[in-house]
Amino acid sequence: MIALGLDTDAIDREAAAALVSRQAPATLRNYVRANPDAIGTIQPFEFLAGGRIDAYLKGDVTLQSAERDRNVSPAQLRLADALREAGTLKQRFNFGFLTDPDASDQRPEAAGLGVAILGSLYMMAIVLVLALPIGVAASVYLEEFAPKNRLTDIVEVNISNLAAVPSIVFGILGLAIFINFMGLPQSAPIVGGLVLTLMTLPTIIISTRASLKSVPPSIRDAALGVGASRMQAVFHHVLPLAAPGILTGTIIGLAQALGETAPLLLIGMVAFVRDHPGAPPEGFFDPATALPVQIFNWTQRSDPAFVERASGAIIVLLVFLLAMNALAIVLRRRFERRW
Amino acid sequence: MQPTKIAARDVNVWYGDAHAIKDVSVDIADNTVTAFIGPSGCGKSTFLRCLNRMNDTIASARVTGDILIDDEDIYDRKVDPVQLRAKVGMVFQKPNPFPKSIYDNVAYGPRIHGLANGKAALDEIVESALRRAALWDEVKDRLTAAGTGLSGGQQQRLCIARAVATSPEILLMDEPCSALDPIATDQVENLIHDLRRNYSVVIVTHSMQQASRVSQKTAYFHLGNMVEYGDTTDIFTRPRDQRTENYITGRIG
Repeated sequence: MIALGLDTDAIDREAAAALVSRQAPATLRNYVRANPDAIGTIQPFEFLAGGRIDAYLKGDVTLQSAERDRNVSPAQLRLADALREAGTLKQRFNFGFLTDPDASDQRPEAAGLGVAILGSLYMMAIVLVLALPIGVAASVYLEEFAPKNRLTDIVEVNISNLAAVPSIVFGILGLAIFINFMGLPQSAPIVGGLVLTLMTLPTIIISTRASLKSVPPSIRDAALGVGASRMQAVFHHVLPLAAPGILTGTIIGLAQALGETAPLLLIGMVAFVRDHPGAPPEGFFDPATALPVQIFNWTQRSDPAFVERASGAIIVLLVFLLAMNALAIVLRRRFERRW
Repeated sequence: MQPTKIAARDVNVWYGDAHAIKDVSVDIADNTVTAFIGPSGCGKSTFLRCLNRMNDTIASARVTGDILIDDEDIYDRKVDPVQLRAKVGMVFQKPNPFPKSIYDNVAYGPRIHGLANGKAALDEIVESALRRAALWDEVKDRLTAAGTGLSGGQQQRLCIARAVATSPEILLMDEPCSALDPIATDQVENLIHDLRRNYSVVIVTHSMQQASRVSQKTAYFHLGNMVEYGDTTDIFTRPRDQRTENYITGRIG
């Protein structure tokens, strides 16, 4: 401050230090531990500003509101103004929001979505790998090969019913079976992925069966007529024609799973996780959170800076959903064939 | 008189409780075009579908009696319906090419049955099948174009090419011209004339003119019974049964 020629009497050292995020001391300590040689030298650092200073620069905190705020004083805000004049305090996009892990209530500015995005991606991967083959196989069997009798009628009714079961019930099921009975770890993407797979399966089965049904029977007759077996008729002709519908259904199912919150709360994915999960497949068993749960979590926090965080996370989630829906449209256009 | 290719003995077909075919016995000759005529719902298509066991794909269908092709019972437990259908080709009412290229449509059968060793042999099979179906000259320059992009008549001839590509001995045609205009119908009928040299052809048709134009033998079906079977000229000039006469003179049907 002296170097910048600012008035040092207007504010005490502690209050001045509070301009910087509480994340900063930890970052500095870790740096010194990693580089003991740096002691006694001058190193440039970039730290996040504290949540209130951040809000002041964005206009949410004013000198008037700071009078009534225990967490920030008008003197601090004036110092922030001075630092901004001097070019030391800058406003720019915080990419750490997309990569950093969550942070505690005391330092909203450091909270990020890194763990949540990774957790959601891991779960989507598990859902895709499990639900797509199982769902398509079940639909092909039910639609093309299964005899029509009481048993298959019951199976069909139950699939439709499963699609309407409240998601929180799947969460309880996951807690009881995957965690309590099978002993899988809590808060892990593997459990979340399994629960979401169960939820997504009916969606995929229903849309796959609809697209199998929409393939004209004349195509099956044509294949059987030249001596294809039923298996060949299905895999060479019916499935390729149904593929666009299957893909669309799968992506819509995945998008639904991506936005699902309730079942994840029950299997402990609401936990506060500071460490990024490892690389798959071991990472599937590491604790993680998920995007919608992170949003839910942040809306519960008291510091007003989390309003902004939660809004940002909602935008990220919506971008993911829009991207997936756009992909569904593109794939359907690409593979659609007329006959 | 040609030797018998297909011999049916007391064939009965039920769809659930509905008795669709009642005690039909018929001998179908080799290298002959045999027409099945009759009013809608008389069972002629059902009987045709028995000859290559396409009725197997309908869960409620039940077939009794014997159908012998070259003295072998096709409903015998040892007979694989898939192999049977390679030997007994079928052309359907509506042209139903696969949504693939013209080449792939014809090559599909030979491919799954492993009839061709290598690309050159497959090309040869495709060309000869398309020539037999009188389609080669029209499509030889665009074999990679979609089969569904052809006109209706061309599509039906493509389906015939697809059926003959697996070198069948018998061709079953289920109203092959009902979706075609008169010119395309004429082309397909000429084709059926030529096909008789190599195959035994069984054709189901609604058109009595067509039956008299293309066939040597005609069977008249009525409410699941085969009422009359004989030389086409006899059926149309001197029907023995009153019901046949009513039908061909236009009083019923």
